[in-house]
Amino acid sequence: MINEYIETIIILIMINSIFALSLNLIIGFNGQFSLGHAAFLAIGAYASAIVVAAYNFPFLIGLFVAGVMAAVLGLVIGVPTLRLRGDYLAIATLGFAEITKMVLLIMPEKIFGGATGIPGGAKEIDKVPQLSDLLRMPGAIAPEFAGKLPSQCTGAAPVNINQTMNLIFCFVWIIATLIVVGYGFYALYRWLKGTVERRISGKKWVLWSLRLVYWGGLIVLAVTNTKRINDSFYGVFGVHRSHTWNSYLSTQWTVFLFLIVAVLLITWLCVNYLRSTYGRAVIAIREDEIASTMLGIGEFKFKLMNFLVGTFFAGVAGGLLAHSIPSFNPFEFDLLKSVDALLMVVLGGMGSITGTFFGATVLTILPEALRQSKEWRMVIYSLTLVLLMIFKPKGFFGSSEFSPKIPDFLRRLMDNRRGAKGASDA
Amino acid sequence: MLELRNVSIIFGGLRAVDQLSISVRAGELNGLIGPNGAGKTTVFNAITGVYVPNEGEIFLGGTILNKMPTHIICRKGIARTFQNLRLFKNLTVLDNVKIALDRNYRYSLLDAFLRTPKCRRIEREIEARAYSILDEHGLVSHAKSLAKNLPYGLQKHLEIARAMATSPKILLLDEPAAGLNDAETESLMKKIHNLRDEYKLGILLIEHDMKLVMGICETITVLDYGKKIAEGTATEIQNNPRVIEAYLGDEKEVKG
Repeated sequence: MINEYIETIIILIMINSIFALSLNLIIGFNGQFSLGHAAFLAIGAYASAIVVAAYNFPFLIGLFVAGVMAAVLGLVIGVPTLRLRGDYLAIATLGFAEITKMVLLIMPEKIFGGATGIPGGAKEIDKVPQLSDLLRMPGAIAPEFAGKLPSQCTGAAPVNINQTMNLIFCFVWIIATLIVVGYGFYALYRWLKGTVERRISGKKWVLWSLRLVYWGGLIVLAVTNTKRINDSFYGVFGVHRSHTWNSYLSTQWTVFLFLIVAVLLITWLCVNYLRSTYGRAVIAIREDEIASTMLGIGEFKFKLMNFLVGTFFAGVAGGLLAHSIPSFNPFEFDLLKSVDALLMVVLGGMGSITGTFFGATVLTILPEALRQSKEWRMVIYSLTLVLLMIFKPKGFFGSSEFSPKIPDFLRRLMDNRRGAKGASDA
Repeated sequence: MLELRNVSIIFGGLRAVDQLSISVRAGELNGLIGPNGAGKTTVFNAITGVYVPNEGEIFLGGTILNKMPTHIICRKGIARTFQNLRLFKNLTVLDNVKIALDRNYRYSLLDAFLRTPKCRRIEREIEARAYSILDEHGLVSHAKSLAKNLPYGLQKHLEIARAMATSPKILLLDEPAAGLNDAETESLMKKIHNLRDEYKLGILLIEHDMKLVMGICETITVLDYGKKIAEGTATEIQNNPRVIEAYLGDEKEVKG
């Protein structure tokens, strides 16, 4: 078990990544400066909390409704404001975001909770189900028994362990970690290797130490995972059972896995979108509005479409947020929240998806890491930002991406498949 | 094909373009010349819908373009290049052309998000078409480099390639030879000729280089203070007293 404080930070990193990515679509890829993005996060949070907690809809439907409601608000805000440019757009969106906040404040208190928010004053909602409640797998042990041997679990039995589910879930988990961590590791290695080869070509030992770390890491990963697979068999056969449940079935990891999948899925969707005719039109508008209209791109239509896409994902982030924090109220979604997202985008690099994740991670961790420094916390935080902007004015990634090469054997597989399809098309 | 009838554009008290009539037929290469500030680029902006004419009408093959938004006018078949290049500088050469091509292809937003087979197929078509256009304009070897990293001469070619990718009927070129050396200018002019012949394009060309315009254009229109002061073949224009006056007067002002 990771302690709850760290757990919350990890969850927030992932939610902030989605939130900042949705803003980057608007600011970084379309060049439209929106300062009211927190409004869409708020709508998403309220929509999902109400739909799931007050009306008992399934959680995934709640997330979808959150996105749709945010996009509807995006339509209301976007239609009048997107005709404006630059600073005017920023001010107009800021104004609309404040209005949204105030409207949430005066909505029926029974459901919306007024100033105390949800579940605060909302009588219809006792508790917004948290991700850890929603994602508890059959066979998962209750958190209070985590890390204990069966003999130590006094009182009620943990839960009924479903052995088959246990085994299936263990395998899914192990394979998922291998793919996600292994690929991430591989990607990072290729990237570093490329950088090293380009920058410091003469120094062989750097390359060799990099290789050592890579292969060493892979071996460690493989060995630990093999150990886990063995453990899970023990689990099935009744040995060290609680150890197994602890390692694999703790809901905490299910939550992390769920969020990782959510982030990857949304990234995948966004990358596809940006590589399509729609995405190219959106980027063309950023590069040169006049030239793009001369090429037949309906400027307003594409700006609005892109704004709706951005607000939809912001709404989804809001939905996830509602199920990750115990309570929230309209005042949390103020200008500062919008600025937070803006900082993440600017720090990482406008127009870079990788940069967004980097920005979201750093700016979620930094304020927490500085907690020890007490009253100097915000001073150091602000100073860091100022220094970063002086030395890295385009953000850490500029508009470039860290996009690793797909391993050769996989690429060959994909090419074959594509080739076969192309042949059948012809 | 393209026809301007008594078009005027008025900025406050200034008649930037005054009762101008021009026509460009398919396969015709016309020049638009005049001293600085004569309103040539304003004419282009009026045709492409950036300015709405205060008086007169602009027709393209019988449809009136006056109040259409720019992007619709483009889809009707008018493409242009810019005096100071407006490439998508931070995108690749290939993407510059793809963006111009995209309007001719359609798949739904959902296809785009999920990158369905339909989307992949159409994207492959777009890519193949973009490469063939780049090949035509001698830019294939630069396909993956950023537009801003191209040498200036090639950037000019890219802008024409991008304009041609929208498959226009009328091409408006705003000072295509500005900033090019003699050899580059010559190759560009040859290309413009070829494009005209191959696609039966109507081309309207703004150019300062008199020698060049005289050598290439069939009909030349001379503008001064927004008014058409002469129209005709190169020799007619060269011997027209009003044209000589406009240009010499211009020269005197510069010297004074």
